[in-house]
Amino acid sequence: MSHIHIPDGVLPVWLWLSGFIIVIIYLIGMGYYLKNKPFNKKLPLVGVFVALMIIAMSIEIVPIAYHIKLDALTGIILGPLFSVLCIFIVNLILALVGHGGITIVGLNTIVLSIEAIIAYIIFKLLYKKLNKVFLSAFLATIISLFIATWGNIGVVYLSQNNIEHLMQSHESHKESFVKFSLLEHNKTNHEEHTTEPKPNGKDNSHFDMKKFILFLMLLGPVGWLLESLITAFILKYVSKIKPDILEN
Amino acid sequence: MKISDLDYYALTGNSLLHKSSVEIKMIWAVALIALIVISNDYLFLLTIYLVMFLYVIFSNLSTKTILLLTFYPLLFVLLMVISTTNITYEFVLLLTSKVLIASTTMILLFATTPYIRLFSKLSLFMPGFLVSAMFLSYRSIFILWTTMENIQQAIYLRGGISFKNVNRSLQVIGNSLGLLLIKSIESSEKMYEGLYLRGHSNKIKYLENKNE
Repeated sequence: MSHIHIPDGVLPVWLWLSGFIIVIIYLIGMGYYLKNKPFNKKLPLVGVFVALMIIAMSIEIVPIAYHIKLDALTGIILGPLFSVLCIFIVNLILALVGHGGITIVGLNTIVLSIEAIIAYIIFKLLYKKLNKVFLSAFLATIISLFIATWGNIGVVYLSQNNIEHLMQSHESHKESFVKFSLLEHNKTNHEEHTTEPKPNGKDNSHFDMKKFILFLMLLGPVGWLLESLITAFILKYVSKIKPDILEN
Repeated sequence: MKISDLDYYALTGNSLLHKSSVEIKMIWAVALIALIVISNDYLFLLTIYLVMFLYVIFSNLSTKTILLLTFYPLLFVLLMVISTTNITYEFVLLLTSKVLIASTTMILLFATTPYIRLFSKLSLFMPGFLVSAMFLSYRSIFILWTTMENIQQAIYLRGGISFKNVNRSLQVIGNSLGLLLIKSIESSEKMYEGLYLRGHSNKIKYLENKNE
């Protein structure tokens, strides 16, 4: 639910371009950070985490067609700096295999990175205070997913005008056809059979933001609960078998 | 997602697009994405999609796999359609054509270009560490996929996942992904040691660049 599933060509150019600019600034910073290091140990780790996320996404929870993403888990284990890189690569590979628009890679990276960073911060705080892996992971994931879903809603809200413009652009195309028909009918004196164009030149269709939020908020909690429980079970298992992963 | 299938088609296919140069295919992909962003004429976009659809049908690519993959993002259009009041069929066609052109373009690029050639071209304008991480990611998918298949088989032999007992099933999924996570980290450590011993820096060098 926090992943932006909007096709290419729907979001306004300034919005998706801003997403890319922010990601490029991050990549430049990352390049500078890695410049003086011969070969960073975390790069292969980023590689396997990307693979892990892609494999996890292929596991579909059939009754509600939900697929887990593990962004929060990536944030908790890799930390904020490398989890953003990991999320960017996942989005890029997914766009390359047609699973999401290429223009929204930047925005998706930002929204999912927010999720990963929030999960990292909350988990660190709760784990330090409660010392309970399952509960800390569960709460960190569910809160981060909730916030990231609102990030998704924010993106759609900002592009609302563009979506409505898209609806009206083909309508004006249709209107010009209606006007042409009107002229034809006038010529043959059959005005009574013609259709009046709409007074304001707009159709009645519009993108209902409230409906969109309602839909996300009805389906979202099921996904958040599943993702949070699975993340909590993963981290509980890891803490039993290899606790040093969490401590590092 | 069937990345392994796409990878197989990219390496073994013999279609017109397989023979085309990577640069041309990348320019073609960028041009089509730009077209989707600029154009709101559903008839024009549908015509372009029809040409692409016919290419997929008549090329020697696996039509069923490619089409199923390209149709997958249509599920996301549904969310927008549900959220729109008094929706017109023209708007649905516009969204559908945009989604289908984008997914078909990317899948055709990926299914007709071996990933090493694609990543080597990406390395011309992407930072070395990013292409390096992408390359390692791509390799890891295949390594971990085999591990995941073995884990799935083990789960199946021990009773599998049942939705009658949701808590147990989620625990099984969590434990199997936890095991995969531990194996992933071990695999990344081995990968790091192997590459470090071979003098790897943050950039992957391609022999292909020298031959061209």
